[in-house]
This record gives sequence, C-alpha cells and structure tokens, in this order.
Amino acid sequence: MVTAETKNNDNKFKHFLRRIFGHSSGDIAFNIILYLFIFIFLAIMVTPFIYVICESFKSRKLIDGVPTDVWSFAAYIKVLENESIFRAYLNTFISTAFGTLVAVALTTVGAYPLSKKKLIGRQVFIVYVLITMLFSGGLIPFYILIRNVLKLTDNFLVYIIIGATGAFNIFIVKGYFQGIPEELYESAALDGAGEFRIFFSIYLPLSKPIIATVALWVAVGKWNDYMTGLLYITSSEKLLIQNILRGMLSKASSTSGIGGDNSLQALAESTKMATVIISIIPIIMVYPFVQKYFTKGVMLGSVKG
Amino acid sequence: MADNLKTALNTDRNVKKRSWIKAKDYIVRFWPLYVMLLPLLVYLFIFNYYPMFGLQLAFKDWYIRKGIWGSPWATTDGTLDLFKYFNQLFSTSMFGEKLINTLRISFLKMLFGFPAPIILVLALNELSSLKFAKFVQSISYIPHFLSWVVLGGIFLSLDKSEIFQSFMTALTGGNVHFFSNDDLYIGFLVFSDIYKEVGWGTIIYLASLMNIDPQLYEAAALDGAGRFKKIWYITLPGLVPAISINAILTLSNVMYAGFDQIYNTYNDVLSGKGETLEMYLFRLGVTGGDYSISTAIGLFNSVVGCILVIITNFVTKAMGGDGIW
Repeated sequence: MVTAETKNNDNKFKHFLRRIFGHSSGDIAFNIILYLFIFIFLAIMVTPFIYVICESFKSRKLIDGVPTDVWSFAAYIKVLENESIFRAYLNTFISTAFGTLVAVALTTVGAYPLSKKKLIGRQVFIVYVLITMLFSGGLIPFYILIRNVLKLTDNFLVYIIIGATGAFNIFIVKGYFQGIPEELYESAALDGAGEFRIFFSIYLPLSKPIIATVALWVAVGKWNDYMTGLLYITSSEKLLIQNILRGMLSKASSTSGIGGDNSLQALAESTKMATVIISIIPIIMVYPFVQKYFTKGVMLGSVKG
Repeated sequence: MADNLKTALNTDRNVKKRSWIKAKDYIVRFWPLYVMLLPLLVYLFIFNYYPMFGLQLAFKDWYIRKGIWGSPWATTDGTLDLFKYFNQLFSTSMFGEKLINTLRISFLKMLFGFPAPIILVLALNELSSLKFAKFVQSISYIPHFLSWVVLGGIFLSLDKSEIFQSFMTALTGGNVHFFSNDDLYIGFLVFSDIYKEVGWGTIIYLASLMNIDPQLYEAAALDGAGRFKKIWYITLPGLVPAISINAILTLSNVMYAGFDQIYNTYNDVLSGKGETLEMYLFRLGVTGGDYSISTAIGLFNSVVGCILVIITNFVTKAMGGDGIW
C-alpha cells in the first residue's frame, strides 16, 4: 500500500519532469537552455526593483560606534513627513484625474463625428487630424505658444491642457466606433434619437474597452510627466512627483536648473528609493487589473488606426 | 417627420444627388456632429497647427516683445538673409557632430533592440505552460509604464551601489561606472532601452503567433522536425510580415534617439557622445534662450521625420500591410 503510493508519487514526479523537460535527449537539452534563458531574463528584469525595495528599507545606525545598515521604515516615514513630496503627490493625482477626464471627453466626442460616413467634409477633417501626426512645430514654437501667447506659465491648467488629445488616440477610437454595427445607429435614429443621444447612450457604453485603453494610456502619461512641470511651472508648490524625483535622483547639474527642487538633492539613498517606490505604487497597484486594456490598444493600433 | 429623417439618412449615401430640401434635412439632422467636432478642431488648431506656423521663426530674428508673427525676417548687416540661422547651424562642426551622435545611438538601439522582442517572443512561445509564459510577459511589461525619471534614477543609484560594483568586480576584475565613460554610457542607453521596451515589443508579434496554423507543427513533427527546426521553418516565417512592417516603422524613428532617457541620465562628466540633436536643441533653446536657431534644428528634425514617415507608409502599403492612412 505504502510502496504503491510512493511509486505513484514517483511516477507523478517523473511525469511532471517529462512534461516540462520533454522525452528525448534533444528535447531535454533544448528545454534546459530555454528555461535558463527565461530565468536569466526574469532575474535581469526584477533585479533593479529588488534593489530599490531593499535600499528603501535600509537605514544607517551607529551600533557600538560602527555605522551599520539596519532594516527600518525610517526612509518612508521621512518621505511621508516631507511636505513638498506630499504636495507634489497630491498635485499629480489631481492633474492625472482631471487630465485624463478632459482627454477622454475631447477624444471620444471628436472621434464620433469622424466615424460617421455621412458627415459631409469627413475626408477633409480626417486629413486635418492626420497632418498633426506627420508634422509638428517642435519644442520651441510650442514653448513660445504656452509661455508668451497663452501666458500659461505657472498655471496648473497646463497639466490638463497639454496633451489632451492626439491623432493616434482619435484614430483608434474612431476605428472602434466604426466597428459598431450601423443597424444600431439607424434603428435608434428612426426611433427619434438625436446624435448626442445616440453617442451617449449607444456608442459610449459599447466602447468601454477602448475608452479604458485610451484613458489608461493618458493616465500613465500624465502620471509620468515631468516635462510640463519643468518647462512651464515656476513655483515649487505646483510641481508634480516626477519633478521632485528628478530633483532628487538626476545627476545632471547643468541642465536641471529650471523647475527642479534642488533642496532635495542631498538626501540619503534610502529616502530617494523610498520616494521611487511611493511614486510607482499607483501604477503597480492598478497594473494587474488593467493589463488587458493596455495591450488591447496596441493590437487595435496595429490592425488599423 | 419620420419620412424626412429617412430621406436624410438615405440620401447621405449618395451625396451628389441631394437637393436643397434634402440639404435642409441634413443640417437639421446632423448639425450636432459639427458641434461635437468643433472642440477637437479648435484644440488641434491651437496646439498643433499654431506651433507649425511658429516654425517661421527659423527664418526670423526673434524679438520677445514682437512675438513670432511680429518679429522681422532674419537679416545680416541690414540685408535680408532668410537662411541666416541655417547657415550658422551648418557652418560649425557642432551640428554634424550632434547628428552623428543621434544616428549612432539610434542605430545601435535598433541593432540590438529590434531583435530582442523577437527572441523573447520565440522563447515564450516554446514554454509548455501558458500560465508561466503569461507571468513572464506580465513582468516584462512593467518597465514600459515607468518614466525615465524613475528608471534613470534607479539605474544611476544601482550604478553607485556597492552590490552592483562588487558584482562587476567579480565579472570584469574592476569597478565599472556606466555614467563616467562615453562608450559605456551608450552601452547603458542601448541596454536600458531594451530593458524598458522588450516586453512591450512582444505584443505585436503575439497576434501573428496565434495565426500560425497548429497543423503545420503537427505535420513537421511527423516529418521528424526538432524544436529548433520548427522555430526556424514555421514560427519565424509566420512572424516575417510583422517583423518587416515593424522594421520600417522603427527606421522611421531614426532621428529620435530617446530624449527623455538621455536627459534624465546625462551628466557633465561625459564628454559628448550622448549629446543628440534633441539635447542640443533643448540646451540652445530652453536653457540658452536662442529661439531662432533651435527652431531651425526643430524644423530640420520635423522635415526629416515627416519624409521618413511618408516613405515608411508607402513601403508598408507596397508590401501589403495597412499603412497609417
């Protein structure tokens, strides 16, 4: 009885090994190389993150007169007590939330008419959008526009206005709208629904996946944005978390003169790494739940813009 | 009412036949579409088209009080000299140097960064457990969502750390600092670019993998093909359309060597191979306030970029792929 069970387990284990490593010797060699490659790859991918986590929990203490590294939350407490980090964190949440809302509204509302074949002048409007994808005025004219023409320097609105929509997202949403069956549109229209009504009660609810995709892309972009703060914000209490991080982490001394908070440069490594962790937590937290939306958009984009 | 609507809906399919009565129906029915389109058109006009007109600054002498439109056309010694800033740009060796730096970095990134996702996706495809493959993929996507401020900061800190340096000592017999030597720095740029984008780059190949007929593998197995042979004769040819289209798309980005990455990791100890055109533009324009000449660099970049995208689109379409338009 006992021997039979161990034999059975033994067989199971052999079966398991076979399943993974294969039967023939060539197969086994192939699999060893394959798994070695995958594990080295995984190790390289996670090493920087493990390093950051370990470093953030370190703090240096004098034990018997010798400075020794001990595990502690000291760095996190320091970061959470730091007023400028906290404020920047809050600013980033606000700019991300409102920026994404505005971007989704502008993009979906604008993409809807472009998806309607009966819109007279549709081709002209599509080319109008397309040109912005092909050609751009570049950094300096845009810089002058924001600073000298619109006079938005040091205005929180720049975070929301800049990058509120773009040709790529418009075309992706438009393509999705075009995939919604025309019969739905026509029957609603014959029932007396106007364009606004059809857009809000038929197209928007049916387009949740693509809206989620675009919203997430914009949100990640807004969360990671440091350039807007660097170029257009002058008072430090309006900066975003990426600007604070840049001030702490970047070695570049000559180029970081504008828009950075240089008072934070002299912090201990553990404090810097704790700030890194805190700044990426929102992305890592939502990531498992929204991963499929992130990748979906790429597929759509590759099929047809 | 319903009849009017029907005619409005139907006649729009053959626009040419519409009489003025139908045109009225059309307006009654479809004016909201134009209202919905308006914010988008206005936004793009202000934030995309207005800066395009601003490119005229490359041919003008910038006066802050007069703005872009009011500033006079460029002159040298009182005579009109529209290409003054381009001449200034091309007369020094600086521009050529930065251009070569840009091309060097982006070609190296392509050389190593382009095959990387293909190799990864082939390896993932060979894993027997789908769950494990998905897990590896999920891990590999993560860096794509982090900013270069964060990743650059992590790598800068890692480079300074004792752990990393003792690892490098074990490997090479000495300390290796990636941010104090130009060639090592370019190596870092190439590596960290792969680190950030390799997982994300596999996505466009995954769709092609799913389209490969499983019967091909079964037939090959019956013919006695090993796994390397199956990869070489079935999987890889299945990926070729996606690879070629991706290759052209990558080539069209050759003028952009990754500003955010360099800007957040560059330092003054390095002696200049990391100074790309975009870095040069930023330093001249934003830091230095030299608007005309940096707009000239921007114009150069935009024109080359535009030509490359148009060629790319043409070639992709000729190869039977979906172009951008």
